[in-house]
Amino acid sequence: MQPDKKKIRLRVVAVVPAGIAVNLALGTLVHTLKLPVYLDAVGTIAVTLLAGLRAGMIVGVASFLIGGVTVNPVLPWFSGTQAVIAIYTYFVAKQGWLRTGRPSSAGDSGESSSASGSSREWLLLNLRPIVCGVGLGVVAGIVSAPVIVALFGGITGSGASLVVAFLLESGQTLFRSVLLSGLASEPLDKTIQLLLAIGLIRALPSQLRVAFGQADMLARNALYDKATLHE
Amino acid sequence: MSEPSPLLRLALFLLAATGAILASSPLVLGAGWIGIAVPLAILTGTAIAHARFLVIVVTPIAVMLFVVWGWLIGAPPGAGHDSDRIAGILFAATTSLRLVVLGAAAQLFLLTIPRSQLTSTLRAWGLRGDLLLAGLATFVFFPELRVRADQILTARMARGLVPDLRLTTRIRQIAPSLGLLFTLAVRAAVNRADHWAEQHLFDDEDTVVSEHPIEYKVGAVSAILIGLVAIWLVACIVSRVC
Repeated sequence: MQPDKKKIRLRVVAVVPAGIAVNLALGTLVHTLKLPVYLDAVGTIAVTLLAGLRAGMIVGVASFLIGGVTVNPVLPWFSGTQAVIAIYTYFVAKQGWLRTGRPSSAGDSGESSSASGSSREWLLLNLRPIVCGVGLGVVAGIVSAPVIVALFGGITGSGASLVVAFLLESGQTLFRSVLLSGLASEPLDKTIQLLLAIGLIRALPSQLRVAFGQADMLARNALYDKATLHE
Repeated sequence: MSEPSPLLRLALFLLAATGAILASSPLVLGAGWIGIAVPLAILTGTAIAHARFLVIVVTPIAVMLFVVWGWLIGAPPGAGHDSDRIAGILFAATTSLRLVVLGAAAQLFLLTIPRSQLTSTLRAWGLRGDLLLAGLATFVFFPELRVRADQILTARMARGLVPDLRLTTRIRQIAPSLGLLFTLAVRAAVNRADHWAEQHLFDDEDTVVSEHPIEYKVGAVSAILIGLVAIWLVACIVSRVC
């Protein structure tokens, strides 16, 4: 049975901090370890899938604003990228493009799709989310590049800055280096983030997945078995 | 109350940040940091947070900027390789100091908001309805999440999966614990929201703001801050123009 609108509204408000915490915890960890990825939008993507566009955008922007004060003042300047990530995720999820090759009857079992066999099979099963992740990376790379160039001289202290340094040394212009570095690192990063977020949603019990009023969108992406909606 | 009002706080932060972005001289940025930001950080009790920010965040970025622009490229952006090493170093210094001042401004004007004034400050900044609720819930949520994370870690230790509680070991536990932590966090969110709904806590937005309205006066502290930020902004504009 679906919860009423008032309950859903309050649940969406209450789940926002969880998304912010996921963003900040993973983002800080990756920044500290200087890995060539960011992993700072997993919460944004997960909450967008779970609770809709508005909640996802609030998670993305708020986590980067809060992170700017408490963790790293570089973050708030990328709030726009977070908003774009939420919009893109919502758009592809609305189209049902995040549906994996898993049979929908196994949708609520919480098993990892990698258990289905070889890595080739896994790749085929997850082809749509992977393509969407690559697209998300391209979009995020393009949106972030002007900020990195204008405000940070190309260096944000992340692992991707090493790629920028290498490209600059090889004679590329600053904007081109930042853009190419973004296009090289972001698709992999955003694909991992999208798959991680989908994994987090799959790890939730089915009653929790539907608790935020997005059952239709989740069902379209094989993240929720709609038959249980009318139980 | 002699503290700056929420709107003044926000305006001062935005003006200080604007100055940092406009400033094109490392001398002005350095003078503003040492002459204004550092003493204020000491006075407001944010010095330790500022020092931590300098060591953990700024130093790695600054080192990379100096290596790239001062050594590898030997010139600022847009100039040819090894055409002007000094200008490359100055560009790295300006960008690093700009980050220092931006971070200091955020810490001085935003990190010093008293917890008791958080609701009224967020409201004064225009946050209403669900946005205000989400903002407040975030600050309530973090301590709870910490407790949950510790519970998960303790449970994993009891099963012999975590050999010790060193920082590196705790970091390594994030990946296997993330799914469980997220599930616990979402479940807690649903339970909390259902409790709010049953208690009719947020039917009316005014019930969110239980504090008495705070009256702010433009006292000595506010006047000094306005003066300092005005001097800072003028210096930054002058450095840009001249």
